[in-house]
Amino acid sequence: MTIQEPDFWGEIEVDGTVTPSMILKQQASLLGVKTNHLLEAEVRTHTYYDSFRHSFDLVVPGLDNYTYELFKVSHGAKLYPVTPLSEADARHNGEELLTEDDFKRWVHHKLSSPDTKRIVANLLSMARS
Amino acid sequence: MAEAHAVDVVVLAESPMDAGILIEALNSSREGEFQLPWAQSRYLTIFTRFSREFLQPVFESERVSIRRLSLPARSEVLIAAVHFPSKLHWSGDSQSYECMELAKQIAALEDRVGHQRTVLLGDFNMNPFESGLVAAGGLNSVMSRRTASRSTRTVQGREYRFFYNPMWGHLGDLRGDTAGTYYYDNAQHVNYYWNVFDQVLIRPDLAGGFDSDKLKIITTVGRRSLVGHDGRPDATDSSDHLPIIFELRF
Repeated sequence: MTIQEPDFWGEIEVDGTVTPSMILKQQASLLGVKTNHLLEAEVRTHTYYDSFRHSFDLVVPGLDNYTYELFKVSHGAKLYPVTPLSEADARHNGEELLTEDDFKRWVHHKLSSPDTKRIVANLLSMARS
Repeated sequence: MAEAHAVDVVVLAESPMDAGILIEALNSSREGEFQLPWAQSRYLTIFTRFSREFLQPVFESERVSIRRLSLPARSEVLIAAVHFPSKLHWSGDSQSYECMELAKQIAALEDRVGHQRTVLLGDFNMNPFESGLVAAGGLNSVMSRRTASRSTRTVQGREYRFFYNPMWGHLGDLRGDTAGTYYYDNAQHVNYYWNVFDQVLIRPDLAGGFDSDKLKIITTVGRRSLVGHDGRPDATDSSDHLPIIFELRF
């Protein structure tokens, strides 16, 4: 006779939430294609005490992998809210990005901003020279 | 100042002046002497008397610029320049966390380039004794060259690389006519008045070539004073921070 061990786990459901890291990596994967791989974007993730930190880097392979850290964000185990970590973001917005949609809007704004376009253009010029 | 002290590398944090105007001024006595290597950091401007090819950036952000100084017939050196956010905008905790991020970034780059000959300098907007500068997981900088010569220390099984921070020796007015690089007065119970926010930190592998007598906080350039009658930095005609100068042989 076999004894059925009790299962304390119950049903494990996979949450459909898109993580901040997935959103960043998806956007990072687009840059190389858009620039003929003269520029690449990478997401570095590390833990810091009870938070996860993601750095969004622009990398120029042709310049010995020169790296420009475009921005950093942080979140806890609950994924949202996400906190932008640059001083300008903290000062001007002063608020956390509460939901996936808020975060997507923020990333869109950041990547399409004049500052980002200027930096990308400069790095492309350097990569081509 | 660059001319008077025969400076090889000039690092400016949050300079309001256009780099083109600055380089004209730097080259006013000898055309083409100073060059401006390409870079992206918004808050840092770096000029060099060396050819710009010898000072290439490897990692940058708005407030950090880390470059390889590769001079012919010399061992390569990493020069990391920083301008950390002011205490007006960031808490001490946030500044400390930023030190941890920077320490990790520097260690990663040292691993990549294969040496630890790194000098870190700039406006930290923190004093040498603050936790971000001192903590093992922060910049792990100590006041003693001998202590730093141990190279690393281990905390909870994790190994952290030392920096030697000679700016500890410039807290207070015993060494000169100024007690720091930045003056701040407010009506709080704890107020240092003078702060040493502008610092140079040196890895043990380079500390042997550092001459402590040549590390100075500059208060005058020729006949021009950088401080007012009260001895405080003259923010109107110069800067609210006093510059530092040092010499490193490698």
